[in-house]
Amino acid sequence: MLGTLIKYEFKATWMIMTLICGVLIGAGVVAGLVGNFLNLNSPTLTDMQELLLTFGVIGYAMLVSSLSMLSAVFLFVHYYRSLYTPQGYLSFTLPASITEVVSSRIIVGCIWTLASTLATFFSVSFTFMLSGNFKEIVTFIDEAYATIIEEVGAASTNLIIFEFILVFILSSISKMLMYDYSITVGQLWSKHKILGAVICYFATQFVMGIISFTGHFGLMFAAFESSMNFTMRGWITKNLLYSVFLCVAFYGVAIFVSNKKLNLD
Amino acid sequence: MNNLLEIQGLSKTYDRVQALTNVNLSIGPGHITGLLGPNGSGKTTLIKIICGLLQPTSGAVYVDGMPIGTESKKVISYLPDQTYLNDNMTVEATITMFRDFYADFDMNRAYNMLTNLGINPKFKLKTLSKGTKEKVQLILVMSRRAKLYILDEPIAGVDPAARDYILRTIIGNYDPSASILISTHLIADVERILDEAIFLQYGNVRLYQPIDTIRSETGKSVDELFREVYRC
Repeated sequence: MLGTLIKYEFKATWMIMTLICGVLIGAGVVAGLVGNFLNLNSPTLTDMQELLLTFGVIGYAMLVSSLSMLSAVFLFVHYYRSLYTPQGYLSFTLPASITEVVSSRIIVGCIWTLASTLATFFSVSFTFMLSGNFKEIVTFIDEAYATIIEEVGAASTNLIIFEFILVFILSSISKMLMYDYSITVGQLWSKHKILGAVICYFATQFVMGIISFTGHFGLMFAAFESSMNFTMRGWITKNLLYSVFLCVAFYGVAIFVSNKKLNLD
Repeated sequence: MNNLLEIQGLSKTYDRVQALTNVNLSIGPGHITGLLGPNGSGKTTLIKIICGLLQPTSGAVYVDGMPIGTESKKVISYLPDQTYLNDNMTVEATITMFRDFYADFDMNRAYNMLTNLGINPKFKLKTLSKGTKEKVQLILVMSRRAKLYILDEPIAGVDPAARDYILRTIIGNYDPSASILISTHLIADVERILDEAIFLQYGNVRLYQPIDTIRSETGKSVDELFREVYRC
């Protein structure tokens, strides 16, 4: 039944999310081609070129951040509407467990979050590549790669890069899960459930801030000497574990609250 | 024969408001039961608990011998008092969805009813009137071969002419071994199809009797008795 639920979740979300991802990638291609056409990567720019470059970069950055925000808003509004408005009467009376119903929303939300994150990455990549900065990008990546090898050795480099990408993906997913978790916990309020979700979100952010600060800098107060033995590997591993913990905790709480306290009044 | 719906000591409290108090009910197979009561008497709360949409404060509900869960949902066909379908879907997409989720869904029956009511399956739900959306929902619910149909205000939003068709649809489309629980204010309209009636008041079962017994003992129709019991 989970497979059928996921199929219908994709049917309900694919149009808007594909459009957002398509516009993100398209904006990157257009920005790159316009940059190349106007020769904006030239070392000497005219006043007009500088003006166009400034407005272009600001406009592109605003578009990309707006689309990323739009995709997050669309996904958590869809989560809320499909579970906790009258549509929830259908969702929760389907012949599936509550865990399956809620998980299908979360799984599809995570997949789309991943897709929009990748679309943003490709958009930015296309912008640089097509604007004529391809060589500079390759050089920059080569230099960064050499720096990491110098720092941690060749053997660990690929693993660190893999872990870094994983942390990046998991932190995007944990943000999505946090929205879903906040909406679900907000349902525990007998009235003003949306306000409850907002309070839950900010309270959780506050707690996460304390945990994150303590995790990263707490050792400086307790044992300053040993805290100076900072390694990139250790930092990434710590972040990886923290992201995994957040994903598991948000998912677990959302499922637990849905199973024990579902009240569609 | 086992009861299709068994409710034992069911209570539900919202904050400090007691919506249901120690409700005990047993509904056997093959009955059309009216769940009647004024606003705030606990009808919708009771229905939502049976369908697994609300958690009871105490007590237990068994549907076909099973506690509320995935298995009980397989045998309940529920029509809520609100539109619960995604407005962006077409009528035929909702039919396909019900076919995919419910093994007991009869597509031919659904399309026959759509044809009889003159509803174009290609139309998106958002283009339909409120009454037509309610008809589509009723068609979906009654096209299942479920054991227990729970209909919350099934005729409230439709015109009187369509009410007759809907009531005929309800009677004509359920298996004799299945039961129907109908919650409504429009008692005069549904009285002729009911086998028994439950009167709820302040979250308590005030009366639960066969319609014939009500008529013979009180000398009144259910509608008349309702107006007397709940007179303001």
